[in-house]
Amino acid sequence: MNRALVEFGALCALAVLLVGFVAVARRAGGPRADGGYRQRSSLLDPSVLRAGVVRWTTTTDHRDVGLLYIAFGTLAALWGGVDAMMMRTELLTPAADVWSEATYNALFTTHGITMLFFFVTPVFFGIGNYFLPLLIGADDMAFPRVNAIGFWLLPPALLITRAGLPSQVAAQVLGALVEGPLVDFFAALEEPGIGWTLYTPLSTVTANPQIDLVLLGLHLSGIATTVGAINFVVTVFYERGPDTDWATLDIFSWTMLTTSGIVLFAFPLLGSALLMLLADRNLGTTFFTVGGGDPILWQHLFWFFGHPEVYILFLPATGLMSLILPKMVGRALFGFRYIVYSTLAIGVLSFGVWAHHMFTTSMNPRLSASFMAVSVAIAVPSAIKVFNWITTIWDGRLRMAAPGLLCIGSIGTFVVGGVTGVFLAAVPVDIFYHGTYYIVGHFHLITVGIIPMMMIAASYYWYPLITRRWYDRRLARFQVGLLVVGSVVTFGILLALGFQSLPRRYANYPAAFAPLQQVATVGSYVIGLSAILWLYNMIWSYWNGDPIDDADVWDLKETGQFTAEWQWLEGRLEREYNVTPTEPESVRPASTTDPERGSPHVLADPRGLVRSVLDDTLYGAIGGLLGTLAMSGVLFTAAFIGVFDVAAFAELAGLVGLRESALAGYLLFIVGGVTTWAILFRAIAEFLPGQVLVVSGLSYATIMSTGFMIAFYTGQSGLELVGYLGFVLVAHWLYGLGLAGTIRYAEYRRTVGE
Amino acid sequence: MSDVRAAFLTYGVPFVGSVLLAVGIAGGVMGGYALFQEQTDRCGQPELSVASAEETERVREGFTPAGGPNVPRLRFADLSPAERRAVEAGIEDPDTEGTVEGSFPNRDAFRRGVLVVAENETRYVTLATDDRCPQVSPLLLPLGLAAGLLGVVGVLTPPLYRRYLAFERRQREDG
Repeated sequence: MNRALVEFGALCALAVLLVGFVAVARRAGGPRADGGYRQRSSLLDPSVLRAGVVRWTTTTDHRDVGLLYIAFGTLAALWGGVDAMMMRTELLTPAADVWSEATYNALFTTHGITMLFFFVTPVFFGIGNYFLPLLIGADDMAFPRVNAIGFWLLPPALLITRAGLPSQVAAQVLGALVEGPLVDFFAALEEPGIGWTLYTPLSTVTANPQIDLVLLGLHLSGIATTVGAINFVVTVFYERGPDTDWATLDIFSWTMLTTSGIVLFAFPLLGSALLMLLADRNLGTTFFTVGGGDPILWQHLFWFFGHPEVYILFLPATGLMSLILPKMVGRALFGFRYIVYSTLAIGVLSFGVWAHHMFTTSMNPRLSASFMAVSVAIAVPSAIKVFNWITTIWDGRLRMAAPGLLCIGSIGTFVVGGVTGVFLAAVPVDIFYHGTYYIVGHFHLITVGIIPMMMIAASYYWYPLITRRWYDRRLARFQVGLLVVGSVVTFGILLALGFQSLPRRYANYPAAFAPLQQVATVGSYVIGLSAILWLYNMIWSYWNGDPIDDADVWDLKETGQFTAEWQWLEGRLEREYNVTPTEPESVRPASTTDPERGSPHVLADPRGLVRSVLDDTLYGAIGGLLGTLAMSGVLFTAAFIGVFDVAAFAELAGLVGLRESALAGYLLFIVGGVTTWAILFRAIAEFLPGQVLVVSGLSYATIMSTGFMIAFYTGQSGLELVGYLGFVLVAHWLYGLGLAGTIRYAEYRRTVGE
Repeated sequence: MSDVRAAFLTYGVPFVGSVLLAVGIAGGVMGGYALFQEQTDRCGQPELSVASAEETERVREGFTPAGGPNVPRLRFADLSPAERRAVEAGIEDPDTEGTVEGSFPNRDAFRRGVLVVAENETRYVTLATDDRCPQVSPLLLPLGLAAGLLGVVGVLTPPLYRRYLAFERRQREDG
């Protein structure tokens, strides 16, 4: 399949859907969150557009820059996510028959680079930009303009790094129209398939010029990250408000400070290594050639950046966990000081473990043993965090809101991800599992099992602060469930594949692994769905969520956790809208089951259902007929597909002594649906599950379907059997809906008539 | 009990719906793609990657003083016509792979990588991709679509159910 066009088409479709949905959500929105009237100016109005573009491209306000970072990171995540979905689609079948092997290689390369460099780091820097100054009482970041520059270096960096895709599309489109050097130029640039780690000698000798652009793009993103990190460090040191000193600095700021410290030491090294690789590729230097510096030198330099990079991504997530979890359980963070120590310890130790990625490169055993020791040791501060989180939960009152559920879910997935990492730290285990799916499962349980989960938890936790509206809380809980279950299924299965030594980074695999791979792919689609639901919730609620009444939306005053950023919101609400600060007794619960707020609740069963035998029979028959006809549609669809045999109707006719023909059997089936089964439903409806008649109809149909499945079974097996069972069940549900819906409607007409 | 029912309808049914939708996407995509490939004949043609003369030299020399691997050789004249055409296409345009359209007797040799000796040049040639056609059950597409549709209904159950309850409530008030 033409990967470039498919992926580009998918991205364009996503973009169109996103823009369309924003327009719909905006149009559907009522008054503004502050109660004022919304200006109904079109977004396409040139003056509005110009003002918006100028405002967002020239802003230096830390909150604006933070939102820009988050928006950029989200778009990058969608791009990298499309890569991931395409990769998992390839793995549905053992052969490389969806994408070619070369395309698959490019997919896992670009997925890794996009997610690590352009999704996670920017989003955490965005959250840091928005909230760190609020948390420490600063007016803004230390260097606002540098902050904006740090952000604006990222979009070109992403475009340069991922130029292979648009240039391939350009080559194909232009190539269909003309020929010439321009087409050749675009065709020469294609997404590289060398892995995100860019290992030499492959990355040195592969001729694809897009690799050079990747190196330049990554270097630019490294500059952007370093600039941002300098800003964070200086802000925490010099911009703290009068009420914030080192003793009272919040945990998220500590982790952002540590992360920024790691960035300052790690990213310059990446830049140097990238420039050496560029020189090897283009200037004939021999930094990473055999007989020169050696290809293994690249691995040393890369992982001296790369492993700290893992902690650059991971530490802000732990900071968010340490900040949000206490609010969700109503208890202060247990062992605050030790969590700070563990953060600093991870920051230092992260630079001492890089060679555990290289245990299989014939290292000196003494050296690998020492790296093994440090790698095992770095698990200790991570474990300190986990135990402290668990102790924080202990005896607390867990609020079952989306951020709380995400905290609980991520502790679970992170523990599994972390413990599998401890195993890998041991040299003999690593020798066995190196290069298998076990590695992929391990690091995805971290990179999905805590990092995006905490981003999403933060997005829900602070959504009222940013937008002054609530997100859809039921949908959020559901989305969290999908994300956690999808992650556990997908990456748990990758661990299982690794246990069986299936090597990673292959488009083909032995057929014996197909069932596990297919389940993992379905799990990954569930993760994709959850990401889309999150995006839907964020956008829709921005214009349509319930406006907040006051700043204490999480009842934080009750437990003395009404922290600086919420105080900032409260002050703002009071200043701008005269909202009086509330007392704990008067706040409303963050999560409600009050039916008036739209929570599902079940009505009482309609009374007086049976009033007139004649009417009941008539409506039951009409309902039965409608239901049976709807059922027929599904069954004939099933027959057309080939999972249902209409000959089963003939058997039915024979059973009651009629001529064995499908038509006679079908007519008998209609008669049964109109009379016997409809009357039986009228008789036992009140004893069936479901207090609403329509739900009772569904229950009834579900029970009936089991008999039908047995009676009409004609020897289907495998996929045919799955299809047969599915179609029979859905057909019966339609029958139940038709039957009960008609009766309910008749009941209504009769009641109104009276 | 009503809490359990509410939770089941709000979270349980949409969850099952999401899983069905995910399964439906997997089945629908693979089933649809297999059908598409079958209809358009766009698969089943292996592609050969032909290295440049410099790259070939590098392969032969290897990365160590001990020299490169011992790569078997094939004479250009011994290749089948389809293989020859593919190798020629790869030589002409180094950016593309040559497609083997026809008999492919040396498939195993190319899979391992061979040196093809043409008149005065030796080039390293490997099988870039088998380009196999997807082999899936024809039931996969309809079942995938059906599962996807059912999944969408499952995901939309909570709002649909709430609207239905509101309709019931209105009816009661009318009555």
